[in-house]
Amino acid sequence: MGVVVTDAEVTLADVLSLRLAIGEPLAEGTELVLRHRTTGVERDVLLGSPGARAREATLAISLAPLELATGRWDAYLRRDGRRGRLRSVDPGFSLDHLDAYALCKRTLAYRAYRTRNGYLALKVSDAEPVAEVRAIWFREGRFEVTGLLAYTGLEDDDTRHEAVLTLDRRQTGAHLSATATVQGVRYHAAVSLVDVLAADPEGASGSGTWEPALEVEGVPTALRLGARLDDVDGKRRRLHYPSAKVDGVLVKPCYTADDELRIEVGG
Amino acid sequence: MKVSLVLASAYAMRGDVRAMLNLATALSERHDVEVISVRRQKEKPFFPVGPNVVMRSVVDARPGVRHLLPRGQVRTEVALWRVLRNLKSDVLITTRPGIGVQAARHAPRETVKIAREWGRPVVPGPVKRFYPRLSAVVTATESAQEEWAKLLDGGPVVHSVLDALPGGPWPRSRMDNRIVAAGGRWVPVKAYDRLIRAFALVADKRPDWRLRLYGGGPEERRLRALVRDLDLHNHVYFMGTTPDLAGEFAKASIVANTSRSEDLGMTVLEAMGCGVPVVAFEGARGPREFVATGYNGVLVPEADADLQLFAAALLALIDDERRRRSLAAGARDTAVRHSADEVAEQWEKLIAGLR
Repeated sequence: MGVVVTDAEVTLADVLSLRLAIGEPLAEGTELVLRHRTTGVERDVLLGSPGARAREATLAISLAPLELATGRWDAYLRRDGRRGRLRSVDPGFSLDHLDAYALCKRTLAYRAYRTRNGYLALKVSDAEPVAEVRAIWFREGRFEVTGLLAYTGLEDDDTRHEAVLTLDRRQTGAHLSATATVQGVRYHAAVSLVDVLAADPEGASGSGTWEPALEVEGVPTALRLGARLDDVDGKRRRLHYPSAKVDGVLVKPCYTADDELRIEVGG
Repeated sequence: MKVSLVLASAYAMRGDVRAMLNLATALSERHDVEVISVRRQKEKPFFPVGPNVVMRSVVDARPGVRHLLPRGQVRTEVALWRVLRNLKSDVLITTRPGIGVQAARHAPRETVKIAREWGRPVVPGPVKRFYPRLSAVVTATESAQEEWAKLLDGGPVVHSVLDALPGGPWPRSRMDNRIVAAGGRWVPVKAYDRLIRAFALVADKRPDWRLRLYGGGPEERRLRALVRDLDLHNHVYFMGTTPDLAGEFAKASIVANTSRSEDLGMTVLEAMGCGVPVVAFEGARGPREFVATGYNGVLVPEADADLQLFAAALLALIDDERRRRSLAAGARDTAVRHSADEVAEQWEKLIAGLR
């Protein structure tokens, strides 16, 4: 059909806004079809007919009423029963926009993107409040982490919130906490590595994994630390963090398969 | 017209393979095209190939394949000799001097034999002796054309045709992500260590910028160790290989290339295709041929052990979004000249002149 998406973005109000470069005007009765990649469920939206002949068309599709399930949805244009997949030349998102998108409290997060073979697709994922990790250091015997809070509904201003970084070991039930700073949606937390080892004397001999979480005043649930607010999946492989040695025990932060932060001790 | 392209391996991830497969795909629209891979290590090529291109291999090196002859150089040469001697093509295009020499010696006389060259040959003796039997030599750049003309003084005519980029809508960068990207094999000649060291200076001043390295190779361990030593673990992402390098480059605002002696610079071309300015060293031939400072990128004079200049060039671009956008427009113009259709037409004209 000669239609190429030149601009795609999911706005803060969950509206998929598209700009299309078109060879000929979209005929009346053209539909945008979203097809779930694994289940094959389809949702279609009838597009309005254009007023004048133009080389460009802009579309705005509200996503919430479509009740899209989580997963990836491919976009097609359908007319008279024939459908063609929508090609895209736009990456579909910008990292800054994703940060801004995560400021609101949401249950579902939508993201437009360009697939590897050059088509428009939509990623829908559950959006529970999380603490997004941006940087990690080992400094002066402490483990430090900083980043921003996503989907919490907190304002991005200068107000301070009480916060606690907790570390849990699921195997032994050991628990450790340290105060953290939260200003607006930015957080910074640090915990002494000696405390980490001392909190679980049994664990010091063997290896163990600590799950960090952030408890912030005003947010009902504990926020797990992860890194999902970008297009980089599989951070376990792509980002290797340095390790520190405390009393001969190796401490190393790493990501799980679904990009959540863990601190591995020993092993 | 039947065209055969001989590659050392069409299954590897390399710039020359990418360029030749793009050319094969573009030629296959009007001609019968087959790609002969001397070695085949994989089931499928890394890069996309058009549906009309026939893929054939000389030595099947996939794991678990049984062979009649013992492995080694002789087996390959005998097998290649058999393929070349029985070739029923009108045109034979070879890459790499090693294969070019074999083609000159063994391919049928009536076949138009063309050698596709990028850099100068490592061993010039056999090239000087056998290349005169070829119909033509085609280089990718004009400086290589001069070199080859000097080397083959009085031999076959040396032409120059640009490398091909695939057609179709190219992804386009919006220039709004704070990302510097680089792609290619992680091998010493690409000098990614220089890029990481230069980026350390950048990250010091602009800590919100990230470096994404695409590709894979033997240098990975050393580069990761370097990142650890320089404390850049939050800034440098080892993204691994991707089948859609252009799509990934389109997410970046700058593509950097610190290669020492790159002859080809296919990633530089791909970056330009998606409208991303390139920062590269002046010493490398590929980038030097395509990048013009102030038009589509920045060339940095090469000074040993001094990456200040490279970092300064990156920082200058980082701080000047308007300049980045104007360079991006120039980069897209440059890529148009490399479009596969246009390149295929030049090849057709060249071949028609030789037959």
